[in-house]
Amino acid sequence: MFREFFRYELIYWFRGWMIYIFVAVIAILFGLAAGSDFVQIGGPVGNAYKNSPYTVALWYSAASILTCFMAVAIYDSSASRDFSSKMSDILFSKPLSKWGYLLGRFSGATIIAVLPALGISVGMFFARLANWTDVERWGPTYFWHHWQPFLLFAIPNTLLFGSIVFAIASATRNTLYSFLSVLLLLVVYAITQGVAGQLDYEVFACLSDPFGAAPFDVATKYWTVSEKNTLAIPMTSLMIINRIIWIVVSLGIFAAAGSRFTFETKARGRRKARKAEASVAAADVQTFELQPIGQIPKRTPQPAWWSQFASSFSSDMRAVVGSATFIVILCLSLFNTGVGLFLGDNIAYGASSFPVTYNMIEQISGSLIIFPLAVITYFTGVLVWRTRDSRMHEIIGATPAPNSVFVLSRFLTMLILLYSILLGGIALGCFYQWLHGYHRYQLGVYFTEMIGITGTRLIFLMIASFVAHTIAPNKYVGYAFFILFVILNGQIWRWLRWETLLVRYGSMPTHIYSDMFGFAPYASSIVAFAIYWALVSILLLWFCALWMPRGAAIGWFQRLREATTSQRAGAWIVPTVAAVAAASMAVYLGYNTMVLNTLIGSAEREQRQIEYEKKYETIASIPQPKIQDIRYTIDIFPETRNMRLSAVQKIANKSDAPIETLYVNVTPQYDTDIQIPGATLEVDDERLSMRTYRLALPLEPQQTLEMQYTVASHQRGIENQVSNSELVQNGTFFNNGIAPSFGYSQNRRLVQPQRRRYYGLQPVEAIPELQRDCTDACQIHYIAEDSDWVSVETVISTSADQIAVAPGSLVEQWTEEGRNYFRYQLDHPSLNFYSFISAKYEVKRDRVDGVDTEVYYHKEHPWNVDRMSEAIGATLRYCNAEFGPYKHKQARIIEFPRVASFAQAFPGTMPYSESIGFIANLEKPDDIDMVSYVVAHEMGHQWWAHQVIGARMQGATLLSETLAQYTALMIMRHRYGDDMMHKFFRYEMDRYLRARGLETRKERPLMAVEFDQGYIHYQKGGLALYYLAEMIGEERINAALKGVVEQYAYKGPPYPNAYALIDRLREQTPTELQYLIQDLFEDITLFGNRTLEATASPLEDGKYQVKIQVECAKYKADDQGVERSVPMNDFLEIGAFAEPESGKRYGKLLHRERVQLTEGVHTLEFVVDEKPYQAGIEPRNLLIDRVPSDNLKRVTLQ
Amino acid sequence: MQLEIRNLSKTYPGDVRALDGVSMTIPKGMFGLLGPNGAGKSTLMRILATLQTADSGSASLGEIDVLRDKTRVREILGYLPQEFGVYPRVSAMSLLTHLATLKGVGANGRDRKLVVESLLERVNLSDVRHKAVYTYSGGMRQRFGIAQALLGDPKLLIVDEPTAGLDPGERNRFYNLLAEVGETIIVILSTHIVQDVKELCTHMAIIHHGRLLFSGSPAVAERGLDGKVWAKSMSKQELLSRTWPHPILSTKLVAGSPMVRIYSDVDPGFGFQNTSPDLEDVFFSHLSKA
Repeated sequence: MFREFFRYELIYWFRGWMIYIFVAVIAILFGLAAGSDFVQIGGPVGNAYKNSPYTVALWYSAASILTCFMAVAIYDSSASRDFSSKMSDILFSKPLSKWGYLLGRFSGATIIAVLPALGISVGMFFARLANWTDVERWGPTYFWHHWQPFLLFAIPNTLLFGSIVFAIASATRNTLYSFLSVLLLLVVYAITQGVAGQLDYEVFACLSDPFGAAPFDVATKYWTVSEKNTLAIPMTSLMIINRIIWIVVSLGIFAAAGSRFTFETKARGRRKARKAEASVAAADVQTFELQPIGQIPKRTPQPAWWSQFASSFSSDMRAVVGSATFIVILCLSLFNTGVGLFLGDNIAYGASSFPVTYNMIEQISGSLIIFPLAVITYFTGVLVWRTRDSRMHEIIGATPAPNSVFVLSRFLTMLILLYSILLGGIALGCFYQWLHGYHRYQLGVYFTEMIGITGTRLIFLMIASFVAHTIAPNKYVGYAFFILFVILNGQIWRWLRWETLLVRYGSMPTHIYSDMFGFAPYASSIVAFAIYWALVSILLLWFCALWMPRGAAIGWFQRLREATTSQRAGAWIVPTVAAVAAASMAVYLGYNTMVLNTLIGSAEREQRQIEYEKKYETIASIPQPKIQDIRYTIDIFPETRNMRLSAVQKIANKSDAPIETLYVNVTPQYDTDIQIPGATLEVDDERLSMRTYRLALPLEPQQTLEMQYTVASHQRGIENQVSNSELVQNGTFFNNGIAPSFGYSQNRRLVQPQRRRYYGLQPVEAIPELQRDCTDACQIHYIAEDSDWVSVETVISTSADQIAVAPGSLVEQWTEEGRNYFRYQLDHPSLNFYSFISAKYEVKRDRVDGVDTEVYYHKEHPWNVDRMSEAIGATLRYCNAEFGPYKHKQARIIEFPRVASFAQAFPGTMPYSESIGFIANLEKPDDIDMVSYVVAHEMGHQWWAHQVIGARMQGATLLSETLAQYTALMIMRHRYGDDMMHKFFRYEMDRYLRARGLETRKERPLMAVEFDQGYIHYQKGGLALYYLAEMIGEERINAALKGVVEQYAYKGPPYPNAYALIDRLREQTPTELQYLIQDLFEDITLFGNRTLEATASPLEDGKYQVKIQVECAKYKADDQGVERSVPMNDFLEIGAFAEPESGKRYGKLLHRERVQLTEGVHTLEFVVDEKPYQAGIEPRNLLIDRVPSDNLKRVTLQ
Repeated sequence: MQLEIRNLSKTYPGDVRALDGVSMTIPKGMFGLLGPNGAGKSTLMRILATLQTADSGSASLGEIDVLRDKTRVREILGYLPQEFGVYPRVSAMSLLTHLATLKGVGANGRDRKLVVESLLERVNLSDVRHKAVYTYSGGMRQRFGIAQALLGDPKLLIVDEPTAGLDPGERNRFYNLLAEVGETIIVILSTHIVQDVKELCTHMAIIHHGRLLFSGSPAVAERGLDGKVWAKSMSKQELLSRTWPHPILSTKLVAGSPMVRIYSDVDPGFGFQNTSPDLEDVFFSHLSKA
């Protein structure tokens, strides 16, 4: 019995086409993901091989989400085929064995349903063949690395879907509920994933993840490139338990469903329907009387379109809303979004932000958007095929109602479905705000974003789906057409390198809302493109009406004939007008985006980078002048988003050879006019934005020259993607990088190794290698290549309601012709690196150590301004005392719009994005004060970068970013105490360990860190210096730093390099701790410390004797993460924490003690005053540890 | 007003000729379209009901070009398909009102309500008008179908195999209704049951394999076979024992033994008795000739 059904099931599927399509779809998708850069699945994998075991495993775990719907289709068909094809009456009257039948079908379906996942390996195989020669990106293939994830993820996950679908389908015999149950499962999955994102609930998230991705992620999150390339999926206990749990759950569900299953045919529908049937049947026996024919009422001569439309609409609405599916989806979507909101309000270091509306919208959209997409996909099909599915099509088709009635009624129905989900999302957002006591609801922003922009995008998509179903011969092909269209429309234009949005259906320019400028810079572009696509959509709707399958005509040719024969004369007016309007709009937008503005895609941009390198590399060695003094005159016109900057600057020849030719880089999106006395423009390379000037009289060594230039913006019409987002209606923020610069700029090269390989270029070292003796190599610093220390004076004007800020002290302020003018002067020569800002600001002022401290902020973001002001003061005092005097007379924090989300330090001025800090909510006692932390970091830069600047070579950012980070950590320590720092380091450690596994080049030791290796100079650097401060003392470090400032502040060239710091730190370090300098700075050192056991026994005096057993290990890693064990005899910390108070995340540190340990297992004891909760080794996670989470163990009381 | 059909042809994919140059004239009154299953009746009906397009040929109803001016046809058309379903969970009242609206019946909601109620009354579904049509029995659903076909005072009523699923009583009542309606308008009734046509229709046509075999009145058709139909009751062995020289029109069991009817211009012998032709003989004689 079992064998027969099993065999039959397999034959059924292998004879059909569906399973082959499924495998092919997965194979193509993953083949493209492996073989090209266009498709990305499951997040970046960094430098690992394209076919590394880690990638294979990651994809197998990620594919469960994709293959689940395929599995549903297969299992649902197996479970309900006998009912839907009405075979059940025939089949079930035979003497069948129930379990033989069920198991046969289920096992057969399982064999089939796991096959699509194999598409991953198939796709990879073909991608490997296609990239046979690329040995750098492809490693060896091992059978087990494919087989293991297949066994671990594909089979159990398929079983889980299968058992649920089998249970639901055999209980309800309705496909719909199967799909809904899977949707519910995905919501559960999304929630557990959300929880896993928060470190605190890791174990729960691991066990509750039905797909096993969470334990895999947790086990591999710190994997280095070499581990990703070689290791199979670690069979951690969490992984094993998770898999056992979910396999048992699956089998349980199947067993439960099976025991309830009977062969008896169920009466159709619910009890209510059966009752209705009975009463109807009673009426059936009566006869019907004849009545005079004259009583058949006449039809009115002119049928009313509106009443036909209204009737159709109410019929459609009743069909979709009445089926309960929509209500279920609506509830699911709101549920998922609600959970997302409550889990996702995490901006940094576990602290929350205020529920400002734009954040709400981002959160809501993230978790909500899948539902309107599902609604579009599913219900357009339902609506288009409804009359046919219920076999009403001939009756409806024979009515005189025009096709437009049906098309528009479906359109309106869908619109209401979409809007009700979106409005539900808005209501949820407002509710969340209200719940958090935040009452600035900004309904206008909600509606513009959710209804106006997202809603419009969805409408375009919905119309595409209508078209797909209209041209399809049946519903399922319609679904396939639509999904195919969405994928193609999303990928193909980029592939073809057609960057214009005019071809990518339904696309509008991206935008960023800011509380400072609203939607202003983007509004016109978005509206123009929306109008264009709306016109196209009208045409498409008309096409749907024309082409709509009506009556019995289904074939394309029949419908074509139908369409051409049965139109009324007036029917062509609307489409003709729409077509003409759409075409005019296309011309208008084409002219605006491609003629008035230039449209440069990413491919073209890379091409130019390559050309620039080839053409101008040779000039790198030709001496160029250095910029010395600059006087700016800047006019900002916020209303028109325009700006005009002119400058007079002194340039000097600091080399020892005469300069005859000047090579000047200009910024392509601005109009630049340059006047150099005695120079002629020899070449104007517009394509590469490079100008070559020849000086009539060469500029002799030490000679100076005064030149002038003007850089002006030109906002002209509508752009394909809004550029120059530094110029906005409120919150203009640009830096002097837009000014012309001299010489071959290394930063303009294409440096990403993968892209270079793609174009067949040799990899470049991003920056020169670190070398100890560097008088020649240290002639330039890493911020600007064509200047050393410059004096700056600025006259800047803006509109009457705005404040403009330039570097230096405000010398003078006046109003002229309704505009505000400001004159600023730099108090000390500084790096040629500063910003100009203009917005409507409130200003909070204070004075610390003779320095004016100012916070410029948007009126609606006052929450953390005081905190920022205090942090400026605290950092000023600390640094003045510890490192040396601050040389400016003012220190400013200036809020800028969230077009970028960073804070940056310029001399005396620190622009700070509205999206971080300003909206942080630090009301909870446990929150990490990231606002002060970021301010302290930027203030730290006033010494570390703006006084001491590293030479342009590896390790330069050790002197700036790492020391700024150290400064910030010290400020935090003094403010919040030593014991609170560990909660912060947990996040820093996590970031460092994760990021190093994603490195695309080489992980460098801290000493040789490269500019873009933030995880090293911020996270690792901060940890390293803090740890060193713990070991040798803060005062010794600060003594070293003070020495650095004394020798190098505002000095150079030559500029200092990493040795300037490391040598001084080495001097300050006692002999027995000298190993630390090598471990922390010169090598990549990791520890494998963990606590095996922790017990405590109460002592008579109320204290506790704690006994821990720990294991120590120390490793050195190479630049690909290959580790080797090294012997150790290091000073490590042991300690214990008390239980956290309720509502808090961290307990009090009860004890810490430094002990010297070798590698291996040790047992240690100490006494604490209170009842210990956790104890172990390196309790504060200050040392880089491969698995930080096992340093502590819960204490067992004895 | 009469319906003129000229050279109508329709071929389905796979070279299936559903209609092959069919021409006929359908006058006011009941018109029976007779043919075995798969003869092309439904195709013809659907084309006339504007639900399908013909490959070639023409059809006109008065001044209306049926094949092109579909909207005008639909305005005066009542159509009961051979097979139809209904939207789930929708009551008869509401579904019929919806269809009435689509047909443009009634100037406003109140008018429509009257129309719909009276029609439901007429087909005796008033008592169950608030129940979902989905739950109706086959006969009731067919009555609902009749009601919707009668919406809006059609000038052309096309009913495709309407009596399937009706019990004899219902069938009679339905035919009475049709006959009454057929006094003033064109009613096309397709069926494969000869008896139906005989009872109801003033004109008829027989089609087979998409071709028109006969068109005219049933009485004339019967008269054409006068003296040419012969019948004999015989045993099964006898029936199978020889090849008969004349085309067998039908073999029916009468009280358990086969009654064989053959077509012959002269007395065929073998004990066959001349018998008066009926419409069934006409039908089979045309099929056997085809």
